[in-house]
Amino acid sequence: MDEMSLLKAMRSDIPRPDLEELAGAESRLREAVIARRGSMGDGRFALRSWWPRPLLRLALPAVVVAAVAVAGAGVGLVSKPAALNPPAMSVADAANLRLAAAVNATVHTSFRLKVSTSLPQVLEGEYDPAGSKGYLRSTSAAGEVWEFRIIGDDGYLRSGPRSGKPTFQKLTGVTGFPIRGGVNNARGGSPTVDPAELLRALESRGRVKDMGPSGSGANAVNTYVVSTDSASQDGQRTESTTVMVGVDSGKVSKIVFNAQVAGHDPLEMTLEFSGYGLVVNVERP
Amino acid sequence: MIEQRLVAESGRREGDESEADDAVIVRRSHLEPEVFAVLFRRHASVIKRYIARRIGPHDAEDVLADTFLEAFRQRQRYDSSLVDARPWLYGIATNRLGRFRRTELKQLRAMERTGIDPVLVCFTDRSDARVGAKLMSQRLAGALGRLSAGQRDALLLIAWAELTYEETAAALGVPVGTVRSRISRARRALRDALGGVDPTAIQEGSFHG
Repeated sequence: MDEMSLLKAMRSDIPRPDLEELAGAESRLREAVIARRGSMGDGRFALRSWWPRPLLRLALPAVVVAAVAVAGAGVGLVSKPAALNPPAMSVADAANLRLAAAVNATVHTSFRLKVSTSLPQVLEGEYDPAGSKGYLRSTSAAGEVWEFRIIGDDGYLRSGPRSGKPTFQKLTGVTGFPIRGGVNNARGGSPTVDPAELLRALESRGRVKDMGPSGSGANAVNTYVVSTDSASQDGQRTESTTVMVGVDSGKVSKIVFNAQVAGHDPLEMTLEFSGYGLVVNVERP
Repeated sequence: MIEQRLVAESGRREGDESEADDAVIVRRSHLEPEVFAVLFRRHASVIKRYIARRIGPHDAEDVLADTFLEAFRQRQRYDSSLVDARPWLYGIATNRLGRFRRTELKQLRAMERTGIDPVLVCFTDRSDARVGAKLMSQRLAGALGRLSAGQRDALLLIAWAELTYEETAAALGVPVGTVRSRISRARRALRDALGGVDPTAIQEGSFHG
């Protein structure tokens, strides 16, 4: 027996698990899929703002796009399944598919990202969904720097004055950017948003309306509006997401979220995407 | 329903049709995420076995779940020209195993010291298997632990995941030539470690008390 045979003998002594022994892992996969798509099972995008905590004054229950409802054992992703023999496509279905195509193109590339809200701070950075790396950074008028870096499963938070040696706090178990999926949120973890997940959530059950093209040349965009209305314990909630897709790039260039809850100030958050395909370098502190 | 048929055939490949089905399954899961479960039922068994062999059964379920969850997240980046998803899945599993490198090395060192396979003891109490393999397993385990991570990953994907060189290259995201050289160096290291020991003689001797 040579060394390869000996190695194979080591493996052969380990029995192959049956389906029952895999049930735990399968259940976790299903839970994670549902949590990611359906923690918004009530139709809202659960609190996933990934602002620094001071900015979370803004972030409330939900913002943004209508979520995917959990249906039986699975999760429906779009308003109707990809039928084998679909009837003539409605205008809404066509808009939904065009939007889905733009989202798909965007999440498969790296991009520069700018995030702004009604608060003075603007977060700017870069993100590579495939490489699970990126950063967002802001500097206040007083010179306070806030920065969050994602490298694989690790997150690094910096908050403090711009001068002096920067110090980062390491956060483990951060998957995606900054925290992938809704599991941590469901378990009471820090509210976050993953731009790639946020984009994917646009493939949703919300009503999609094609608002048509605007702009010209390199700035020409097609605009879509995704709307949902729902009732909650806070009262009637209306959410609207405006998505602009670059005509030339075929990718999402801007998303504007608006949420209005009865009795509360309106919420607005804007994400701007650019620099598609750039090389994202993030140094591990 | 195709899903029921595939569940019945879980874990087994049966030629061209099932090779094509992996890519179709992943593609369908873009718009019907629940379909991804078919891929789990088809491949999870062998992948868990590979993981359990490397780091033991205690953490294997977690790594298995992480593997398929990561695969689900990446499914829209799956190259649909690859009809067999195993290299892709094994590549993700191997990447997830990186967090358990210390666990794996600890077990290999324990096996080198004692000759007892700490992974195998969880599955069997065959004392003859432990004793009979004592000297071989000690040296083999020690040599495995001293390989670089890249060499060990490549070697075990060939030996324990039963991937080809090309599939291993795809799983690890490196050129085939790199896999060949890593395997060559790894096997040389193992042979050197086993040098002077006749594995066959040792095994037979143990059964005769």
